[in-house]
This record gives sequence, structure tokens and C-alpha cells, in this order.
Amino acid sequence: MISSRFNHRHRPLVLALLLATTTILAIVVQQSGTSQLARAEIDNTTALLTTNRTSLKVCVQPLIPDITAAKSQVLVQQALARIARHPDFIRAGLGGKPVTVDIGCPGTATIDNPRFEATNKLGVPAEVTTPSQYRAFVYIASPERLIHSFGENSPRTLTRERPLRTTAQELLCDGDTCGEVTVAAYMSPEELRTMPLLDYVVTHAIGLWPVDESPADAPASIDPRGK
Amino acid sequence: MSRTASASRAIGLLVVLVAVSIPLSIATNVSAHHPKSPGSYLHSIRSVSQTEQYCVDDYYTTLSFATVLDRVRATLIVERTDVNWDMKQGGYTDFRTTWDYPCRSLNSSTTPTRAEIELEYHVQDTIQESACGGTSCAVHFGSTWSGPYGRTEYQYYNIYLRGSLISADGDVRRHVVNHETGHALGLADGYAPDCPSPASVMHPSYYGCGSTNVPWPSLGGDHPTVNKLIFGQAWP
Repeated sequence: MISSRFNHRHRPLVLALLLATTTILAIVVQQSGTSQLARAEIDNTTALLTTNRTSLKVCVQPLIPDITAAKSQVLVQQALARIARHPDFIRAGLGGKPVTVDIGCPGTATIDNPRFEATNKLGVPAEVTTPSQYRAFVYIASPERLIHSFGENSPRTLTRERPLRTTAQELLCDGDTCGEVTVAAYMSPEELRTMPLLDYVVTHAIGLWPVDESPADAPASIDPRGK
Repeated sequence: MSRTASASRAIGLLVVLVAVSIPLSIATNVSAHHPKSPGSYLHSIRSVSQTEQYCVDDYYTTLSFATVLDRVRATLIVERTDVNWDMKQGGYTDFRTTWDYPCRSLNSSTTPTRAEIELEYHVQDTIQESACGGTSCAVHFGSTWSGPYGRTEYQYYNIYLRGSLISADGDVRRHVVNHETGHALGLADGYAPDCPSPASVMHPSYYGCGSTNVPWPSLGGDHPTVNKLIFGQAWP
């Protein structure tokens, strides 16, 4: 009798709960299956840039014996500690977890690619499906090598006092679009030891505007000669 | 009917409505013009005072530099000023070329410098950028975090266009230039079945959307979507 009354009164509620549970379970299972199959994707909601990175990691690699890998590592680590005070560092998803600087970068320096010159010194990035854990590769090369590869002023340098020799190191593609997900920065040992310049280059390499180069200060459009 | 039974039915109806609304909301999102946008986009389109400067390059094509320059410019600026990308969204998209030589001749000593060019159109008979897989494509560089918008934006786009599509002077050329430029403006590709707007220049037949490749961005879907991105409005 009690059971019958319960069934009669609560049948709509029970059926509705069953329907809701089934629907939600179906969605959860579908999304879970999707995430297991999904490969890394570009994620523009953080400066880490890809869905397979959870913290900021940078690697350093001297291409010459003039400076040790350990010394380079310490200098870049110290630079990142200073850059962590950047107003966008946390908001861009770069904080919250320890920042890591490792010795040795898992890839070939873009300037070593025979096609580097043909690309007008913009680099020959590797297409990847699983980007490196390192957001930026810092290569240390001789001044002569840097001038040979990039010229007196690299294409991306805005002011002669602050040479910016960066190239895309890795590209992640989806259909007919590809995007830089890892940046290579090239510096000489002397530049690496020049704190303001090191901070400037590393800030760019991890995808932040240097504080004194806000978008408002970015290169303004020049007076056009016409459309 | 007892009060308990009435309450039970009311709650049941509410739960049914919620359960049904979940898949319906997903379906509604998919039916938007650009369900996968925003993708990556040029930083400069957020600034009305910053133009989108472009250059063209003919290094890897048998087409002449004059032809390459003329056909890219025709698509971006000259033809169909009512629907092309130029000077839309209140002037935020403002394409200009001030350089009468190939992109490769730009450097840090020229005016403009290479760093001041947002868009480089490289017409190539065989696409040299290996990541593109032999087809026309858009590649973005220069990632920079935008604090106000809470997103990474990009300073530069290199757009690779197959020479055969540019030499076929007509709607094929218009489609490929407008489609790849649409990527620089934040529009993602539409793949079947997520291409509810076949009239979109971003929803081409080669991705299973409709049977034709429209040559121009649509006033009903493409332009309003870019407009929402520029002004930071909710998507879709």
C-alpha cells in the first residue's frame, strides 16, 4: 500500500530524475572520451599557449663554451624572478606554480636550419603535435654568430639598444592555421649578463609586453602613402 | 490531488526542463555563426589608431611582383568595398600597404621596418612552409598577453597563398585571400557539421560545408563576429 502510494505520487519525479541523470551522465562520458582523445591545442587564455602546459618552464642552452650552462641557468632564473613582479604575470597564468629553468633544450636551434636565411631570418619552426613543456628556449651564441644570422639588427628589433632576436621554435597547427607555441630567444654571453636587456628579452620570449613597452607604446602606424 | 503529489509533479517538471535544456543549449551554441571562434588574432585589430600594414612577397612564384601585389590589394581593399574586410568594424580593420617592394626586402632600417608590418602575404607556387602541408595557410607569431582582454594576441601573421589560386584571377583568389585573412581577424574554420553558416567565407566546401566557397565575408555572420571580438563582446 505504501509502495503503491509512493509510486503513484512520485512517479513523475522519479522519471524526471532518471532522465536528468542519464542526460548528465551521457554528457560527462562524451566529454571525458573527447578529452582522452584530444591532442594538445593552442590555448590563448594563458600565456603558456598550449593545453599541455601547466607551469612556466624555460630551457637554456649555450651554443658556445664562453659561458657555462649552469651560469646561464642561474641568470635566466634570476631574470624570471624579477619578471614575476610584472603586473600581468599571474593573470597570464604564468604564476601559481614554481617557475623552472632547465639546462638543455629539446630541439635544434632555428638558426641552424639551412633555410633560415631564405625565411629572411624569421626562423624555420618545427611543426609539432605535442609542444615542448618549455614555453621559451634561450640560446646563447657568439656575437659574430648572431650578426651572421640576424644581421646588425634583427627584423623584430624595435630599438638598437635592445636587440630582440626571437623566432618561433615550434608551431602547432589545426587545419590551415598554425601558431607559434614556443619561442626561441638568441643572446650573446655579454647580453645575458646585462640585466635590463636580459629581462627585456625574456619578458618578450614568455609572451608579455615589457612594462615600458605597453601596447600604447608599441610601434605606431606610420603615415601611409596610400592604400 | 494532495499537496505532496502536486509538489512532486512541479519538481518533476522543473527537472525535466533542466534536463532538456542542457542538450538544447549545446545545440544552440553549435548553430551560431562561428561556434569555434574566437581563434587567434592580430593584436592590432583591437586598436582603431593602428592600421593593419601588409606586404606581399613573390620569391617562390613565377607570378610577377606587380601581379601578386595587385591581386592581394584588389581583394583586400579595392573590390567590393561594401563587403571586403577593409575599413570595417568602425575602421578598426584598416589594411594598408606602404611598401612597393617584396616583404623580404624589409629590415630594421627600412620605412616601414619589418617589425611594423602585421601581415605578410607570401604567394608561392609550392608552399614552402612545411607546417602548412602544401596548402594555403595562416601562421601567427609574436605572442603577447593582452591584460585588458585577458588573452594572448599576436603581432604578426604570415599568410601563405598558393600561386595557382592567385593566378586564377577570380572568386577562387578572392576566397583564399579573404579566408586566410579572416583567420588573422580571429575567425576559426568551420568543419562539417559545425558550419551552420555556409555563406561564411570561413565555412568552405573543402571542410564539408556547403557546395561552394564564397568569395567575400558575409555581412550577416563574418563581419558581426569580428566586430564582437574587437569590442570584447560575448561570443557567439
